[in-house]
Amino acid sequence: MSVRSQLLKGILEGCILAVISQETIYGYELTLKLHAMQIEVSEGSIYPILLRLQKEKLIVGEMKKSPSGPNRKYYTLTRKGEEALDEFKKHWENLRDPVDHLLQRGGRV
Amino acid sequence: MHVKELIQENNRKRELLSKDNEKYYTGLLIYIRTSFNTSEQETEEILMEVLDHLLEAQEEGRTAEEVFGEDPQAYAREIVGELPTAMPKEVVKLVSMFGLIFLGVFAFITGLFASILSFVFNQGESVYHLHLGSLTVTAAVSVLGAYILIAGILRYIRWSAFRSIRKVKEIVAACLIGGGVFAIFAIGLYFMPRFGPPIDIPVYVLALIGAILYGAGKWLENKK
Repeated sequence: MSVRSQLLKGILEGCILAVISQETIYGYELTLKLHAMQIEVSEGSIYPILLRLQKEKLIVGEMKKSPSGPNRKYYTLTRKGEEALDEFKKHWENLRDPVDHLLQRGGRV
Repeated sequence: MHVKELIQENNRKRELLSKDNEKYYTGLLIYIRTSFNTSEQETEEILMEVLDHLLEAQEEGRTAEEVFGEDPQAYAREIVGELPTAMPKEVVKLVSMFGLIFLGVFAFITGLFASILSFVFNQGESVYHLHLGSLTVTAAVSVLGAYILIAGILRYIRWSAFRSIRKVKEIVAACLIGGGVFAIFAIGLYFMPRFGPPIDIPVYVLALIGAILYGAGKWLENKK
């Protein structure tokens, strides 16, 4: 896997954790939310990520009835997931400002 | 929701898919279900999620290709790669259940036929002269052979899940390979020397033992 896609994958995972931390949500809703926030992600790609986050015990999925009737698998963050999200926030902030700064100065250090 | 309910609901909902979407989704389903070392509950849950998602997208006039990409096999592989593998306990249960049912059916049918032959038509043996040692090996090897054969069939189904054209040549080759494996096992067992303490079993007892083994296998299957 290329460095670029590794980086994007990590960021996407962080974003998904952030969305789930705000509300209990199911797969289809999650893609709508991400798109509404202009995070361009191909719809199908969230499912492998959700599986991985479940395997790492950062989120738990639970099948239950949705207000509109059918069963849906709703995801919530675990304590471990909250810790991972905090860590992601820290990393992101540490990275974002220097990179922005660097790029705005036209790459001259 | 248990696996059985999920599968039933999946069957119901699949009928709502358009022709192209159904073809795409069925490929995913076959590929993911035939990865038999993954946890069944998780497998059915993700299949249900993907199906629900596809139905929602279909309502909005989008196709499976647009939602899950042009390459269904790559997508299915990605999902299988992230699925948790079955717990060892689950695997042990599955293998012993399969073995018990397989041996039970085999012993019951063999015993039944031999009983009918000897008691009704006075043909063949009315008592089996068996040797415990070679009997155990034969049973274990038979179960293993059947398992390999079924695993092979599953792999083949999986490999052909996304190919619409199936050539006659391919099916013939698959049959030859399957038959070859079976023959090797059968010949090996036939020439195996008899060893271990000898026991005599009347043929009808074998049918009875078969029924008991089968019952034990079924009991395991229904045990939560």
